[in-house]
Amino acid sequence: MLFWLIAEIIKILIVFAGLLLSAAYLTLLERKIAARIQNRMGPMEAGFHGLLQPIADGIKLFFKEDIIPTEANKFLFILAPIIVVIPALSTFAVIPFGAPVKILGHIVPLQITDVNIGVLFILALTSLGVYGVVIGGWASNSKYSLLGGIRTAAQMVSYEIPLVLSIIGVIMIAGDLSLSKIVSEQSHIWFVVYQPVGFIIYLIASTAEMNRVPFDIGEAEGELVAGFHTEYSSMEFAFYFIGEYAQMVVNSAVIVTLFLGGWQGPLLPSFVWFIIKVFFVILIYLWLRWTYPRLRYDELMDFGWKFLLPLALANIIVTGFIMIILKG
Amino acid sequence: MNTEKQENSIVEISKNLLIGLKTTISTFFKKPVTFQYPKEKRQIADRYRAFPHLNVNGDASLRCVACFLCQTVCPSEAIKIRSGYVDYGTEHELTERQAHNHSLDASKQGVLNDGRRHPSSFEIDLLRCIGCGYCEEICPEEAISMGSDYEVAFYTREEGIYGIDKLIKSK
Repeated sequence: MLFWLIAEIIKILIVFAGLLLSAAYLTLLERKIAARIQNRMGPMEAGFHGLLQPIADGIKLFFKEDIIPTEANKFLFILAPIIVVIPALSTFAVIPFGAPVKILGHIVPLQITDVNIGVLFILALTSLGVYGVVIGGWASNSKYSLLGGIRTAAQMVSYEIPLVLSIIGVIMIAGDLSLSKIVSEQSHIWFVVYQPVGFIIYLIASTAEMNRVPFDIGEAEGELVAGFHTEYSSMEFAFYFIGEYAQMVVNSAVIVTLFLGGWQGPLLPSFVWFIIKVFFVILIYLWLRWTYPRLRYDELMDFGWKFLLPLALANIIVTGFIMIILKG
Repeated sequence: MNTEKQENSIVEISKNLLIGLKTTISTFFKKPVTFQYPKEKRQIADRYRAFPHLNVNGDASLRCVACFLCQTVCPSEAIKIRSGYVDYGTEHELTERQAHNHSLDASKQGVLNDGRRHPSSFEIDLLRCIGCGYCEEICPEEAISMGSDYEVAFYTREEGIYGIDKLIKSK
């Protein structure tokens, strides 16, 4: 009993530290990749090739003056960034990040908790992120923040639907909502082979979920200053940032688990495979960001409702028919 | 000409999206065009010219003979010269030609000089200078020429006025 408790705590600490660290270093990765795509060098001063830049940024943000607008709703203003971060971090609880290991005669699964409704848990928590954005936008009492919050809410709610529907194909094939089961189902062939359309829809819809370019109308800097976090400064702003990047790691991990075979891979240890795959998916997100311009509001809504949603529905129907034909 | 708006098909749109991705990935693997400026200096061309500076002879005496041509030709009126003499003193070893030149003896008694006029002060206001190179072009003595030092910055306007010493030192 004590062994399990200690094992769980260690796992939680590793995941928590890993997520925060990767969120911090994703900012550097993003800047470096943006720089290389634009033929620049990116941060080079702090440490070797800018390796200490995230730490310098963190220290700077920590010591910045904490400005709260006088007309703002103080309680909600401080609460909003926390609401963004907590679901992003806790989503990782159900993601298996390695094959079960044997320690002192016990088999420890490398997953904080294996709930049998893992997919549902992930979907429920990722949709909570919209509250942080909406509350932050409203509590700031600024027109830019409010408009950013409204736009982001509309966008996140619309893209939630194709996001959920794109996963259903995977669930139908795997026949289970538990993520560890879904990973073990992919030991022979990755689900991306069976569900290429679902994979692409999930990739696009999750980009919109995270408010990343090309779907960043919520913080369109040309129109809304910085959208819902216009009035935020210091650590509250850093929390929004951490939340955004942690969400990126989590979304990549979900994609890896659902479509790319999770931690499965030859030769290397399982958690290394998991990290490699997550890194690869993150690179795709960054690549998309620095390639495409922002969509207009109506284009965004058209794309979500008139293209992704029918495509996701068609994907489910086609998957169902093929499964029936193959079985019968 | 067909001005009708083209209805894009999904195939066409996805093709264009993929072209965009290809463009960015190809630039990703290219060498950056920027460099770390203060640490890494730009390789300037041999013919590069920035601001004028004064040339000296081998014995560190000024070549300038205060003929005022550069001051006259300067379009931005950046150059201010006052003519005078340089007392070389008994310590200084004059060349044979200089020692035998007594053309200025009549106007300046008891002064050891090389027989040439020299500027008593020579100022170039680098904030006015436009780097056109007319002064270098017109100088009969090759006393003034354009340098390659482009990193010129001052805290005050007065610092921007370079005297003889600074003009000799700058490259």
